[in-house]
Order: sequence, then structure tokens, then C-alpha cells
Amino acid sequence: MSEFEPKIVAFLCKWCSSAGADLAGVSRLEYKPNVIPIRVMCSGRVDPLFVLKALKEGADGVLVSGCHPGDCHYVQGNMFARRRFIILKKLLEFVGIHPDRFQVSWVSASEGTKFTKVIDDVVESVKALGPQTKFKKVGIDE
Amino acid sequence: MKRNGVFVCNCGVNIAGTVYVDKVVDEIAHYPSVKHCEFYDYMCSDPGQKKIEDAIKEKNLDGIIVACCSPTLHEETFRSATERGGLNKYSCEIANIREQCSWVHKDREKATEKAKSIIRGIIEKVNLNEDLDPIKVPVTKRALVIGAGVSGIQSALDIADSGYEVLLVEKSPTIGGHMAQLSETFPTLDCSQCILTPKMVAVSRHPRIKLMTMSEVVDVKGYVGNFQVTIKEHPRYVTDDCNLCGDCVKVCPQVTVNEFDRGLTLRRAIYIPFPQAVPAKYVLDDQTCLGLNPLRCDKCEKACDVGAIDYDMQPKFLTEHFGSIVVATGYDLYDISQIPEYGYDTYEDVIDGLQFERLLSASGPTKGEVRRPSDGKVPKEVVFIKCVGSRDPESHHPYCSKICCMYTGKHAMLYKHHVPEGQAYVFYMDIRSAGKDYEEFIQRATEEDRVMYIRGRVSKIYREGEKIMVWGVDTIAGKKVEIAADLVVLATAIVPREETIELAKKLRIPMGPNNFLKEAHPKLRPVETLSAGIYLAGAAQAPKDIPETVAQGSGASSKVAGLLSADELTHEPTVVRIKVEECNGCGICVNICPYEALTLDKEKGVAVVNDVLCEGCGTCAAACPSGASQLRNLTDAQIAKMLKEML
Amino acid sequence: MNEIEAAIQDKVRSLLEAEKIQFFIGYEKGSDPIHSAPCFVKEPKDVERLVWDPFCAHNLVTFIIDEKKRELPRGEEPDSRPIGLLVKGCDSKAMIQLMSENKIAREEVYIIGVCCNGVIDSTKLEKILTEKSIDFEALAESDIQVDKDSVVIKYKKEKVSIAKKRVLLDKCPDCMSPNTLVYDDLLGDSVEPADSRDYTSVEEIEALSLDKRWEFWKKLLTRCIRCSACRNICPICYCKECAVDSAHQVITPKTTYQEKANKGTWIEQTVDLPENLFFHLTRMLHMAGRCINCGECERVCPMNIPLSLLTRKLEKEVKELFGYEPGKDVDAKPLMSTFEEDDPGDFIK
Repeated sequence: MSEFEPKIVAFLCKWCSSAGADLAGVSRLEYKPNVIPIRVMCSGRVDPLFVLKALKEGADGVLVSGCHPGDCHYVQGNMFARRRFIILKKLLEFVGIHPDRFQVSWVSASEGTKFTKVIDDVVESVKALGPQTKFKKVGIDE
Repeated sequence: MKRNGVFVCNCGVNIAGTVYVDKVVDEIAHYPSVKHCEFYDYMCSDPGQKKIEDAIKEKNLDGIIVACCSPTLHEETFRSATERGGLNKYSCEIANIREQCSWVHKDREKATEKAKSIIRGIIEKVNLNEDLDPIKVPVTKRALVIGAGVSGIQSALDIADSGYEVLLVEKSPTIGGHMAQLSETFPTLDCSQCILTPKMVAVSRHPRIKLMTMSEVVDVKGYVGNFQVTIKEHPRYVTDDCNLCGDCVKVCPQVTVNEFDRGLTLRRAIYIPFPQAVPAKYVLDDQTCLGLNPLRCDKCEKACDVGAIDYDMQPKFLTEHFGSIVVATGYDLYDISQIPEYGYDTYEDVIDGLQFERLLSASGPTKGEVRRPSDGKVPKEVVFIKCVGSRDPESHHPYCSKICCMYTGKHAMLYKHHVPEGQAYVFYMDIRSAGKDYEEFIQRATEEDRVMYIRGRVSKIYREGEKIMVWGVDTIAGKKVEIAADLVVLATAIVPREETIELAKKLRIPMGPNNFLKEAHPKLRPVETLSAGIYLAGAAQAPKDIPETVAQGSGASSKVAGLLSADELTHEPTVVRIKVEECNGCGICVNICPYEALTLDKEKGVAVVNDVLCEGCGTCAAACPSGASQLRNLTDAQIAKMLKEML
Repeated sequence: MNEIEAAIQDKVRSLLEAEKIQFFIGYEKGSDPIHSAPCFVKEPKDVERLVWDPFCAHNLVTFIIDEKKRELPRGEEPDSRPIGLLVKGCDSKAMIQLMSENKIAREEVYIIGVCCNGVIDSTKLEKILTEKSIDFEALAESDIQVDKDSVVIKYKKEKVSIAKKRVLLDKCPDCMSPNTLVYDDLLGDSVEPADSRDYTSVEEIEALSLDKRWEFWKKLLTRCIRCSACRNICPICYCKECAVDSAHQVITPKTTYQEKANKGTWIEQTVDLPENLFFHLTRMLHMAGRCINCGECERVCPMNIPLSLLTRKLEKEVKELFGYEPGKDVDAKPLMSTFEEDDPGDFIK
């Protein structure tokens, strides 16, 4: 059995973080392949239910990444997102799910290097936690 | 069920060098709903695009997934190909397996697995995509410019020169704004009126500009391309027959302060703001007039040979349609009576910068000689104080008013030109002279004209005999400074006009923390507001000098001309939809939307989207507890399904 | 009959006689003396059924929402008169919250407020009485006396005294709004509110290790049968269709049955831990800044899941993070539709 490789979903906002990820690509920066990106228009589009659903479907971790405060293409979508995410984080912790299972990061379109680091950090921290079994639906497997 | 075609691009070796495209195709070909799957060297090439068109026809496909580079590069390319194949362009989506997969991984097996996941997700997205058509909005090819200072004038002229009709609305009796009050302008010292009045005349003569003075916007309805604006025109009581003879002024018994000279002189109830005013007409100030009642006083009516005076004029309201609006409402000076230690209200010889401009102006109260207001003597010691009310977050305004460093330098310099034997002192915090030829200008003031710059603040101003005593500190010498001055000029903070705050509410455009109008993006959309079709020009947005103001006026007008040049506006159709049967009318979405695209229909108790205003961010969709708000082609159902199949 | 009860009856009688309200929602005596039940009074003659005693637990505000959801039968004209309603202090926060969410207009309800000294948890009392082998169903109403600190039961010539705090509903001892906040009439003497909210129960859980917390909730939430009683009783959970019941697929004439069957959903029908957890977390996420902790969800839960732990945790976090208290101000903007520049963001990298 090979070592545990976590599966992580990343919601990236189109204008900053997905563009930052593209920049990392263009710059041929290497990062870990465990994170599957989903492009959304704005981090504000990310309903906390997306995160719960991902965990339920067997994701070992979820990352949401959007524009830095003040840089949101839609002015303030990320600020609303921040409110929702902190509530979600507190609730997840309260029921005993490790806070690192759900992470948030601001990555701008020019931060290809930061994106790489964020991904590697997330993968590393989730890997340390081992497989996410608490929330995972039984019967979901390869 | 959808019939999807999946095209995996090798991108030469860019993708195929890392991702085993053959394995991807083998697996994806068996994925439910996939009826066609192949890989090709360069999908974006002509033959590649042709493959999409052909496959749509041959296999009767109705969904296209191209796994290739980032959608920012070729989404439009492949959507066009899909459209040529006879499908709606929104049935095509891009799976980004280059920038976010092949280029960033080395492990070929893992990269291949990740590519498959990404493609599976996009297939599920396409499965639930709707066919959409761009939203089209007809455009009224006229523009409204609110405020006729130099930025409004520039904006109106540029729009009109591009071939569109403009209505220029100004609240006061003449156009020209603050620039008309100025003496000479930095850094070139050309006379303000000499460069402004030709533009004012051009406005009045331009066949496509309609000018309304003494008018204000009272109501704004509609949206980009189709604004309905109601304008109230206050009565002027003087008709177009006025021939500027001035006989009426001689007989008018009522006197009040002259706003144009900022209270340094008086004027009659019937007056002309300044000789070059546009429109060139007198105006009767009904607040000062004895009451517009011929029984009490009809002196001006009698004096007027051409019968241009009409006491019965009433306010007029008119509603007009515009495609676009430019807001150029300018600035005011901060009320310095808020700073009692400077004694502006107490001592006549403590004046603000605009008053000093009038004193310097050849057409001003002293005919261009510098004489102090109290006794008309030529001041020998003049103290200029900068940052009065600016850069003072504790008590006044936190921001820098930007133009004061330069105009104070100019004031001191001009004073020295007028009174070479006099001494000018400038109390400053910093000298901010960033701008073309600005630093050189300040250097000239200090070196050639020997203006004395003292780094420090003034703590107190009081009168002693004929002198105005100024107590300050020189922070470089570390000494207390006491100057017995003849005149003190305060470089007062610039604030947005009070009327602008009301106007912003009517236009539904946001204001920043200091009530300056807020641009759509501080760097990349500096002349646009968040309300599509409404643009900003001049100091209503932030303190600005003349070159910047004019540049922004021109910038706004090019935006307007661009917008009006189209017959129809098109708008991305991936906007939010409110499912009426599920909406609870709680109003969370309405508060969230920065574009005011959502409103609450109180009667039906549901939120309503204006497709034209919605930018499609989906923040409201994420906030909606019932899920009634859904972003087209990125619905909750799509995300749920994508997550299920990607993992 | 106590004074308040008499005053309620008088007021409702006069309202109904004057036809000023459509009907009145209050409490009547339940099937046994330690329960009271909601009661809809439409005729003046039925007014005598109305009671006010320490067993009046239900949050009657919920019924207004139900009433507003009711489709008007064909031919029936809408009645513009208000609905009369008995509202306790705690429940009045729900009323304010609903008004702030445009769900109820003030003029649509005639509110009789009551100052409340705490409501007795019938389940707790029942348990104690059963332990003491007292047949509570045989008791007469007059056999139960509730005073400030104790509940005294007369049973077979014996007097059994139980400390009141042992049998109060969990929400009562630290109630910060014992007096109705929004009302047309207010009955009873004003009651002193608690000094502060007591979050001990929440803090106890927070003090556990992550895995212990998980074990705790796992045990409880595995019990959930997803009967939706918590959702249905909740005055704030008023959505016409719950977000978790469907994920809003666009159905067009071209949509096939496979696609309909295969549509994306948040929650599957199976009752298991992940789905249950998803359901309850979703409810809490949607309740953030809206839940006023009336505790009805916990009271009605047939599986005795202490849902108040979640709602109290939510209340605590919302207060600590954003200084926000739902159900306080009709004009307050919903918590999740605003933000502050300095909202906590330390968790974001």
C-alpha cells in the first residue's frame, strides 16, 4: 500500500486565484497534484454547503481561495464569504472536524508563487491528518 | 440525456508530455453521456476547431467539453466553434488541464488522474448547462453630464464632438465651476479664465450640447442605456432677451454677499456672477429680492428696456432619456469654522485659498492688487498654512487634499510677484509636488521668489493691533515661531459637495468613507462607477488638480462615447435567476448586491433581478438560505454534481 | 384561574366580539395537567379554553408563518384583520427577527405579551414524577402549584416539592428577555432578566478534544431520524422549499427522466451520519445571525437530541465574532448580508 494521498477540492475565484493558478502554470512552478480545482466567479459564490458536500463526497480537505480584501472584482464578494466561512469553520470545529480540513486563502492573480505554496501547505497539513472518514459517506470509495 | 463530445488537446507536448492523453480518452469515452471522445495535437488550430464542428453534426452532439489550456485563453475560440457547429455557445465549457495540471506536475500518473477528475467535473457542468443568449439592451444615444465645472465642460465637449447629444446640467447660474474663480494656474501660471472661457463659449455654441443652468437632477430611474432623469430648472426671472446692459443692477435696492468673490464683495439681488458668465444673462436671486412682487418693488422691471424680467417664472420639471451619465459635481471647501484656533470666522484678514485667488485675480475685488480685506492695505507679511482640515484623522479629514501644496506655492509666488518687498511664509507638513513640472515650480518659489517654507504646524492665531499673530513651530529647527502677519491664508481641505451625497443616492452609486464618489475599481476602472453607464469626472471622486480633472473628463467621455456607439448593449447572460416559487423575500440578497441588481417586490414578497445590472458574481446565490437565487450555468445542482463526480 | 389568564380571556373576548382580529392563538390545557397546548380561538364562546400557566412552552409565532403560507381557498377573500397572538418574551425575539426579514408586518399581528417567570419542561417533570411514582395524569390542575422557586405537587394528601430550576426548560434560567419586546398589550409584572447568557454547556463541549467532540456528536446525530420536526417547528426556518431537499436543477422540456433522477442534490434520502450531520450543519449555517434560541427544535425532537447546544454555540459565536444579536432590532440588516472591514480573518492564509 502506497502512502496516503489526500484528495482535496479547491474553489478558486476566476479573477484572482484561478488567474494566480494559471500564472503558476505559465511559470512552470511545480506543486502537489492532490488538489482538484473548481473555478467559480467569486469566492462569494462559495456557499458553505459546497464545502460540506465536498467533505461528504469524500474530500479529505477543501480549500477556498479568492481575492485579497479590497481587490474583489465584484467589490466585496470575498468579504461576505469571509463571514460565512468563519461561522462554518467554528461549527465544523465544534462537531469535531479538524479545522485544517477546511482552509481559506487569499491569492491574487500575481501570486503564482503564493498559490504554489498554499497548495503544498494545504496538501501537507491534510496529509498529516490522514483520511477524512468522519464526514465521508459510507460506501463512497474508489 | 446530453450527448457530449470531449476533446482533449495535446497542446504539442505541453499537455501530452505530462498527461497520458490516450488513457484519459480511454476512460472518459466510457463516461455516461459522453458520445464522442478524442485527443488532438492542437485543438485551437483550424483543423482542431473543425473537428468540433464536424463531430457536432456527425454525432448529433449537444454538449462540448474541451480539455486544454486556461479558459481565459481559448474559451471564446471553442465557444465560437461550437456555435458554428450549430449549438448554443454556452453548451461548450473548458477543462483547464494545462495551466492547472500538466504544467505544474511531474508525476505523469497523478497528473493523468487529476486531469480525468477535472474533465469529469466539467462534463457534469455541461450536463446541467442551459442554452443562454446574450442579454441585449437598446441604447438611448444621448448623454447627461451633471455639473459644469471644467471636468463637466470637458466631458460634454468631448462627447458632443464624438457625435452624441449631451445635456449639461449645472446648479448655479453659470458654468465654469471653481476654475472660473482662480487667478493663475500652476505650474505654468496661465490665467485661469483665459484658458477656461473659450471652453465655456464652445459649450454654449456647440450644436449638440444643450445647457441647463440653475437646474438639478431630482430623480433617476432606469439603468445603463436607458436612464430616465427628471431635472428641475429653477426660475431665473430673466429671459433670453437680456442684452447684458446692466441697467437693472443700478436700480436694485437689495444687497447680499457675492458668492463668486467668496464674500469679499457684495452684489445686488439681480446680478451676473462674472462678466464672462455662460449663459450670458443676468439672474434674479429670489432669496434676496424684495419678493418678486411688482407692488413692493419693480425697479429692475422698469429699468429693463427689452422687458427681459419676468417675475412670474416658475420652476420647470422635465424628464429626459439618456444612455449614459457623467457625474462631475466637483468640490467644496471644508467649513473652517470647525477649526476655531485659526480664527477664520473672527478675523477678516484670515482667509481661505479661494478668497486669496479672488484677491490675486485681475477681475477680482481688488483688480488684482493684493490688499487685505480689513483695511485694504497691501500686506507685507503673509502666512500660508497648509493641511487645514486635511491629514488630520483625529479631528478633521484623514485624506490629503492633494492640490494645496501646489496652489499654496503658487499663492506665495504670485504674492511675491505682486509685492516683491513682502515676505511669504508657508507652514507645511510635507511638500507634495508630484506631477509634471510641479517640483520645479516649488523650487522656483523657494529659490527665485524666496518664499520661506517652515516645516511645522500653527497652533494659534490671534489679533494684536493691526497684526495677526501666528504661533507655530519649526520642527526642523526645533523652535517656536511667532510671526506678526498682515494676512493669513488657509489651505483648506477639499470636501465633496453636500448635494453630491443626495445625488449619489438618486443615482444609486456608492460613496467612499469620506463621501467622495467611489470608482468601480481604484486602479483599473477609475472613471466608472459600479452602476453600469454612470461615470465620474473631477473632484467629486477625490481631490484633483486641473490637468487630472480634465483628463478624467475626457476619460469619462470616451467611456460614454464607447457605450453610445453601439445600438444595443450586450451583457453576459450568466446572471442570477430568482426562482419565484422558492423565494421567501427575506431580502438578504438585496442587501448583498453591490450593483443594486436585486430589488424586493414587497407585494409579492420576492426578490427580482434586473438582468442588465447583474454582473453574475453569485454572492447572493451563496447567501440565499432557500436556494431560490441561482447563478445561471453555475447552479448549486451543478456544483453538487461536479463534486460528486470529481472526487 | 390566575390574573393573567383572566386578563387574556377578557382581552381576547373583546377583540373577537369587536371583530378586530381574525382569530387568536394562545394556549389551552393539554391532555394532562403538566402539558399545555396551542389553541386557536375563533369564537368569543371558546375564549374560556385559553390558559396561562408555566407549561405554555410552544413558540406560537411559528403558527403565523404557517398561516401566511396557507393558500387561500378558491373564492375566499383575504382577511386584512390581524391575527391575535400570545407571545412570551423569548418568542417575541422571533417576532422581531421575522419582521426584520420582511416575513411579518407589524400590523398583521395583534400581540398580547406576557411577562414570563420561566416555563416548565414537562418531560423533565414527568421523569421526576415517574421516579417518585406519582401518577401525574391523575392529578387535578389545582394539585400543581408553581411559585418562585419550587413546584409543589399535592398527591394523595402528600405534598411533594421540587426545586423549580430542576424542571425549567434549559432556555429559561439565563433568559435575557423574559418580557415581551414588541406587543399591543403587555400582561403581568415585569420580570428581571438574567445578567448574562450562560454558555457553560457549550464551553464544556469546546473543552473536549477534537475526537471526543466528534464521538459526542456522532452518538447524538446517529440517533437523528431526520423527521424534520426541528425544521418544521422553527419559526425562522420558513423557506417554502428547503435548500437541502433539492439543489435546484433547471428543468426544461428537454430534461429527461434520467437527468431528473440524476440531479445534483445536497442531501440524499438515506438516514445516516454524514447526511444527518449535513442537515444539521446546513440548518445552523442558514440560522447564523437569525436563530433566536427559542429552543423549540430541541423541545420537539423525538430523539432527544440536544439541538440547543448547536444553536447556543451559534449564538455565542455570532455575538463574539460580529457583536450581533438576532431578534433585537427590526431595522437591523441580516448578519450575512453585511460585513465589516475588520471582521475576523485570521483563519485566512
